[in-house]
Amino acid sequence: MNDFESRWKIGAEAARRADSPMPSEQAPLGFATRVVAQWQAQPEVSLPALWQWFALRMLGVMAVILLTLAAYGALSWSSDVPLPPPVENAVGDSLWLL
Amino acid sequence: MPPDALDVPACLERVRQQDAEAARALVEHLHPLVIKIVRTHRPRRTAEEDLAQDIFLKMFTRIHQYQGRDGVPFEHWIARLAVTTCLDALRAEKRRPEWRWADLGDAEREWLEFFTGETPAAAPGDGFAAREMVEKLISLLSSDDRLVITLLDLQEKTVAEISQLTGWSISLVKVRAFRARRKLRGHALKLQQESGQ
Repeated sequence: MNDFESRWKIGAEAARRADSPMPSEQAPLGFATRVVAQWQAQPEVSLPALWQWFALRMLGVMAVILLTLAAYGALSWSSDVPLPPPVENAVGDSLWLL
Repeated sequence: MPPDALDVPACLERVRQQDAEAARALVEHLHPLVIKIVRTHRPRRTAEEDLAQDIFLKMFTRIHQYQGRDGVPFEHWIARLAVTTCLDALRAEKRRPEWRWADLGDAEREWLEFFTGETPAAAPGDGFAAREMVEKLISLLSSDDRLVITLLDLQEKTVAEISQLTGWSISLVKVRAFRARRKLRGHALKLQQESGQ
């Protein structure tokens, strides 16, 4: 430890010992009521949070659709029966969306 | 109900359901913890009540992000939120104070001479002057350096505790503390040089 560091530590210790008594730590009268009123006056959900909520659910729905169609496709593949055009279109559209 | 007897998990559940009475009880319960952090780290020009209010509003807005099952007590979560809010406020403070040798009292000058090695190894006796001088030197540091030195040297937190409070890695805390002390030495020497001019 260099000379400055050891002297600084002595000074910091003296500073800690000389700590003056702090004013009260209890919330001032009406502080909690004011904070709560301000919180409740805010819009309940922020726009980014709403977007995140919406995007996550959309992702879930898309995954379910994709899995269902993939399962349907796999079953159809094994029976050698070509997929009807509307199903092919739906799969194609879903993949494009992803 | 005394503030310490609050059932925090039950209270949080009610707050999540927009219960105003529970929210008030939570603010009153956490105020001593939050105000202690604010008083230690707030920028010079920000009122402590304003900063405490910002912290509580952030707490209510992000309360859904706190998961009690992670094993982290709510008090730790709010302490971290308070420290990061204070750090943001310190970063937003554009100007740092400028201290001149002429601004220092005699007892503070003795401590400055002690820090810079101008005087023999015996430390001056005035503890209040030590506090003034230490705080003046710390106020010359950048926000991150100021935070790490205050937590480490004045509040005697461990490196691990600082890492938990700030989200910085252990090695980053150590490096920042090392660099901050080097800067403190530079500031002290610069201030001391003014005495000879």
